[in-house]
Amino acid sequence: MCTSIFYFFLAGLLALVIRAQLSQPGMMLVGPHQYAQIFTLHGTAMIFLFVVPFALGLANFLIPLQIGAPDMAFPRLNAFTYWLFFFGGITIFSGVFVNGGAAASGWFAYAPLSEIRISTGEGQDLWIIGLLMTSISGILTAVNFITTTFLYRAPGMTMWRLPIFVWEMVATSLLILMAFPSLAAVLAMLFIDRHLGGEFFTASAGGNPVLYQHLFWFFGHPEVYIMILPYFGVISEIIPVFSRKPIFGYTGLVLSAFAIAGLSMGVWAHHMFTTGVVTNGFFAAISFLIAVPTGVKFFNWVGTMWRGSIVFTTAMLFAIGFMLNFLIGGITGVMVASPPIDFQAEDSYFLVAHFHYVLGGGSLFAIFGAIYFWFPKVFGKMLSERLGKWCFWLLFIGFNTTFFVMQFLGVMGMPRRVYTYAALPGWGNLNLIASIGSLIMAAGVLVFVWDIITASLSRKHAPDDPWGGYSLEWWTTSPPPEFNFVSLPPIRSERPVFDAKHPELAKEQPG
Amino acid sequence: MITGRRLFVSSAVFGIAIAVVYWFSSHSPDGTILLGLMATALVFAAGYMFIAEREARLVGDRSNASNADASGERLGVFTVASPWPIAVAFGAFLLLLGLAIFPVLAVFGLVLLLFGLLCLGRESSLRSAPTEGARASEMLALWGAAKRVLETERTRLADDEIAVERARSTYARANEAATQADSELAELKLERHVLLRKLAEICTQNASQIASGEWGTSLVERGHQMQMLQEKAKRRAQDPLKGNWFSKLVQGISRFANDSNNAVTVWRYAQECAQLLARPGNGSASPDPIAKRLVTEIAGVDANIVRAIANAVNLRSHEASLKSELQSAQRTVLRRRTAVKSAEGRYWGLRDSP
Repeated sequence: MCTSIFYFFLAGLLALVIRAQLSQPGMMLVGPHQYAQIFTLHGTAMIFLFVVPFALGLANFLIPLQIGAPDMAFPRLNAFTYWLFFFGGITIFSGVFVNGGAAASGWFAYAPLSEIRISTGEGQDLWIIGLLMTSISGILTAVNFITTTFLYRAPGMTMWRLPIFVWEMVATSLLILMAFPSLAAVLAMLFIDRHLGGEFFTASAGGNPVLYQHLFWFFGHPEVYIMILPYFGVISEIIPVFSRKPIFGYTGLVLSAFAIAGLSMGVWAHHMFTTGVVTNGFFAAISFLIAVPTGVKFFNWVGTMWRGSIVFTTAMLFAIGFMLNFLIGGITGVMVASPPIDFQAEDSYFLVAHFHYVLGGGSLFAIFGAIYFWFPKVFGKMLSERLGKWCFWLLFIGFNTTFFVMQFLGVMGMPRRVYTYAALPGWGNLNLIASIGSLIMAAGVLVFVWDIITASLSRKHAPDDPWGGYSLEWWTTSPPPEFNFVSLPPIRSERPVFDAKHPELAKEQPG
Repeated sequence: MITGRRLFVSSAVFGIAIAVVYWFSSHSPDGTILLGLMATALVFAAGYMFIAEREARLVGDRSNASNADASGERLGVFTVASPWPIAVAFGAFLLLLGLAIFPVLAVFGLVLLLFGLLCLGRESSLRSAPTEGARASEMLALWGAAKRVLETERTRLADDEIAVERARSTYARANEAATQADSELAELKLERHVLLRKLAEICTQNASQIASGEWGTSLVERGHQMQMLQEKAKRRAQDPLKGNWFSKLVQGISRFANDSNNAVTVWRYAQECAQLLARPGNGSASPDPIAKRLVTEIAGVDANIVRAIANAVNLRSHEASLKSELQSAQRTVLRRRTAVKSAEGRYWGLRDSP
């Protein structure tokens, strides 16, 4: 987790450079090739080295705690996956130091752009092997999660009493198992093309570049849900605790997670509408369908908050911010799932705004919520609520300033991945606004860093259960002892700790 | 486990279904092959769940399992630290790096990778040695013990607090019942009083019969006295007032005073008669039917009153005993709180020490 946050800071710095570059038309802060390297590294690091690994790290800590297990099922496999991810990240960033610079073909590295004839530098190779390592790490972690959840549950912790976060991680792991092999395969094929004389993606030699897109997006779209499902779980843990109510529609939340996971396997080619070689109807229909289980989740969260006595802690604020931002991202997502709109919006800033609302406004806010919620449990120190609220408002305002205007830019036709642009009417001002927003976000992140530093240096203990939590991790001490639990309460519902602390309100369940 | 198996089976079915749907909607081989491979992998996983895990009897799957059910269950050894995962990862890193950039590195990487895997395997076979158990140091054990003591004390405190609440509510119920019995008794007494007044009125009206002994011998004397007073009042009423207006006024006032005095006395005698009549066994003596009925009613009320008094006394003594129980439970909770405080002190002290 800490490593992923370190990579997040690197990638965030890159984003700041991007925004500085684009704040005025015709700026020449960095050249075109450097710019391409920067956005490639930014995308790759944010996706592969921050959002996904943070979820995996959080789950690594939380799954054993929430199901009442002493540790993950395969501790050494777990250590192996961490180191593989660590070296993978280093490999990707080390491209900066080699001949020709880091990879510059975008985070999806379409062939033939990424083939050896065009991307001659070693940066592209480092990118490929770095990602190969993180994808193997992801697959092994998913195996570990599923085994742990299926076999290591505490007495009485049946599958239908698992906290929602664990369920979402099971769905995520299943998705990883289905999607990541495709990524590993396509990266291996690209590697073979580049170094071992393969012609998989070379049209002139009988290969097929569209195959790259198929294989990549067969992984790529589920990857989006791999990046968001764990954070749905985080939100589903935070909201009921601070609404002082049990979660509304437990079964609905679980089933919708699997509906999203299943449907996401059938939508990959909606990234390829404009190639003209895929069946747009099939993919558009399934892409629209995904909105339904997502809507179920929103309904359940609102239902949980409805008539609860809501406590506006920092974690809860981030959860609410998540819902607002993700809603915008989700709606623009439904828009671009329609092929006619997609033909217009493809490769414009409208798409940039869309996926930043989903991943930045969604996952990032949930990550901050998770940090504020579980920091006391992980490190035994409390983060400051006052600074936390500053951090939230700076991030929320900065985020919306940055990315809301990008939707207008996209509709005006500004293409993505350009290192500079002409002074067309309106473009300069909107870009300036977006750049100012990114500075506000950076201020929010600085507040957060300051908060972490002061909390880590303080000598005050965090209590074992600072929020009045429901799931088992709040039963043990902060931080937990070596094998997590000294004792366990009886588990008779999905809120064992709540039941143990309020026996008069405990729901007696049959059998 | 059944839920987990269902999960994989339904995923596999979904994989097959979507591959078929995709083939018929697009006739494109590449996507269909991808989906087909995915479905095949899921079928393998689902099949594994059926073959390998059908015997799994997990304590986590029983909805009413307790911690005691899990005792003796062997989850395996959780390795605390091992240098080999990082060696294997570094080996893989060198191998891939070498393949891409500098082939000599790949050889080193391969050697390190294989060596790491070998050591990992050796470690697995040696794991049964209880080295891990020895590492669970004394400190952890002490701290665990302190935590257990704290947990027990906390549970006990919770139990005691529940006991206090229970005692408080029982006491409140008993108190309420006793108060109600008291008010019932008061009501019965009031009823008896009203009946007695009615009987006394009848007695005043029938003073002459009472004096003649018709109502029973024990009342004769009071009957005479009532009759005398009533006659005296009648005579006074027939005797006209004499003299001037002032002496008439004085006479009138003294007559009024006499009459009121007499009336009070008559009423007292009548009440005494009524009391005598209401005594058990005297009811049959009175010839007047209304008086007779009143007397039986009073007898009934009297019986009720006796019962109500006994009831009230009982309830009050019960209430008193419950009160002392409540007080002792409250004292226990106070003592237990001190115990929990000191257990907490020990626990935190152990936790804070390095």
